[in-house]
Amino acid sequence: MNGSPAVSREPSRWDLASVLTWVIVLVVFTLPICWILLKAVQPESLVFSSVVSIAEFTFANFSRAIVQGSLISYTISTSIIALLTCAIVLPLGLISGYALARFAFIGRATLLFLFMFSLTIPGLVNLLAVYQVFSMAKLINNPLSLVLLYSASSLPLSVWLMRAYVLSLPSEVEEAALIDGCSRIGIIWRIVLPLALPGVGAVAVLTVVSVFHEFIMAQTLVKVTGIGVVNQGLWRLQTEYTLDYTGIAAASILVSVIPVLLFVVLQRQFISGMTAGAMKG
Amino acid sequence: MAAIAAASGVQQVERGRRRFDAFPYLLLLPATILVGSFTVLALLFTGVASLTDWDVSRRVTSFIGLGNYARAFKDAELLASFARSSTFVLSVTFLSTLIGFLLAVALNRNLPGKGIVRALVIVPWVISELATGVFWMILLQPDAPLGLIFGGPLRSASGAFVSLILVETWRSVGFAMVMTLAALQSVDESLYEAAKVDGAGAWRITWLITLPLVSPTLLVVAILLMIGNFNLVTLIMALTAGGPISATTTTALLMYQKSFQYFQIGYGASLSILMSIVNVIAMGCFVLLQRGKGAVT
Repeated sequence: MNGSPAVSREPSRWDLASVLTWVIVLVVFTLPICWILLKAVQPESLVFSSVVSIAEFTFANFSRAIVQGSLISYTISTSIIALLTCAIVLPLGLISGYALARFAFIGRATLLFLFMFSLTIPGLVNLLAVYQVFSMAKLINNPLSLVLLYSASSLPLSVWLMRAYVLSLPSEVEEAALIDGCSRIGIIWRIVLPLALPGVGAVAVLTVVSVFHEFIMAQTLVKVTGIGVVNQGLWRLQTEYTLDYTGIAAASILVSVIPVLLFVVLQRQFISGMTAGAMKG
Repeated sequence: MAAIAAASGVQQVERGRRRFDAFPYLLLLPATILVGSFTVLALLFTGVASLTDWDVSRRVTSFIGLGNYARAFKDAELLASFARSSTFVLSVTFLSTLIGFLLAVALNRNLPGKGIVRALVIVPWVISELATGVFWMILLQPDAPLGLIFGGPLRSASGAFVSLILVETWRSVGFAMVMTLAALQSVDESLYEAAKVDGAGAWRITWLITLPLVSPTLLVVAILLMIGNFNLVTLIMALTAGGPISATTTTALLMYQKSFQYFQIGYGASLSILMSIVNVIAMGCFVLLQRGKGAVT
C-alpha cells in the first residue's frame, strides 16, 4: 500500500503495490467464496477434501437444498414481501422527503428528529414489543406483518435520502409549474418524481436488498415453513440437516444470488444509496 | 414576462408561508404514523414492560418498578456479555475502518482494474449476514482447510471469539472502503501534488495528508459500524450460536435469548431499553459530528 494516492493523470500500471493489493483482495475476499462455490457443486464425499475434479461436479446439492429448505417457496414469498414493501416505502419516502425539503412549517425539526431517532433504534430492540403487539392483533405468521415492519424500518433512511435528493434539485421548475396552474400533487407527480428517479432507484435497491438480507425479525414473527424470507430456508437447513455441509453451502449460495445480482446490475444506485445515507446526513 | 412570473412566484411562496398550510403535514402523515408507531410506541411499550415481572412461567404479572434494572446491573451473565460486546464492537470497528481506509487509498491511486477490486471487496457486504455466518461456519470446521490450519477455531472460547471478530470485519471492510472512497474523491488533488513537490513519500502523504482529510468520514463510518455491530445477532447465531458455552454471547444475543427463548419478557424489555440507551448515545455522537460538518440543517 505504498504509492502516491489520487494521481489520476498517471496511467494505471502494475507495480509491486498493485500486485500486492490484488493478491490480498483475491485471497482474503474472493477465495473463501470460491471455496464455498466449489463445495456446493462437489459431492458430499469430497466435502473437506481439496481435490478438484470437474468430472465429479454435481447439482445434487442444489436440488437437495431447494427441496429441504423450501427455497422456491421462500424466494417467491420474499420477492412479494420486497415488492409490497417498495410499494409502501417508495411513494411515502418521496412525498415525505419532498415535504421536508421544500416546505417550512411548524414541527419540521421535530419530524426530522423523529426520522433520525428511528434510525437509531434498530429493529432488534423493538422486536419484543412488536412480537407482543402482533400476537395480540393475531398478526403472527402473517407475512403482511413483515411488510409493515420492513416498511417502518426502511422509511427513516428512505425519507432521509429522498430529502437530500430533492434538496439537490433546483426548485425553479416547480415554482414555474405552480404559476402555470399545475396542482400541487401534479407537481410531485409530473416534475419532482421524474427528476428524483435516480434517488428513488437507489432507495428501491436498498429496500429490496434489505428484505433479502433480513432474518431475525422474520424468524421471530413468521414460523410457517415456506413463508417469510429466504434466509429462513437456509436456517432450516443449518439447524435440521446440521452435517449436510455441501447442501448448506449450496443453499447459502442460492440465497445470495438475488442480492449479488442486484448489486452487479445496479452497482451505481447501490453504492450511492450506501454512501448517501451517511454523507448527506 | 419572465420577471413578472418570477415576481408573482415569490409572492405566491410568501403568501403560502404566512397562511397555515396543511399540505406538508398531509404529505408527512402516513410515514410519520408508520415510523412513529414502530419506534416511539414500541419503545413506550417496551419501557412499560420493563417495569413488570412479565414472564410466561408466571400466572400474574405485576409492576416491580426498577427491579429488572437492579437485577441487570447485578447480573454477572449480562455484565460479561457487555464486556464481550465492547471488545467485539471496538475490535471490528477499528479493524474495518483501518483496512477499509488502506484499501480505499490503494484503489484511489490508479490500481489496474480498480472497479473489479472494489466490487470484490463489497461482495461480502452484499451477501446476507446469515449466509456470511454459514460460509465461515463451514470454512472453519475442524476438517476444512482453514479449520485444519487453525485447529478448529470454533471449538475453543478464544478461537471462536477471534473468529467472530475477523468474520464480521471481513463483512464490514467493503462498507468502510466505499464510504472512504466517496470522501477521497472530493479531496483536492493539488494537495498531494504540493506534498510531493515538498518531497513527502507516499507513506507520509497517506498518514499525514489523506488520513486527516478523510477523518470526519472515518468517524461517521466508525459510529455506524459500532451501532450495527452492537445490535448484531444473526451472524453470531449462524457462526457460533453464542458458544462454545457463552464465549460469543454478546449483549444483543443475550437480550434475544432472554426475550424469545426463555420468554422472560419483563427482563428482556429492560435489556432492550438499556441497549436503546447505548444506541441513542452513539447516534447522538453521530449527529453532533454531522452538525460539525454543517451537513444537517
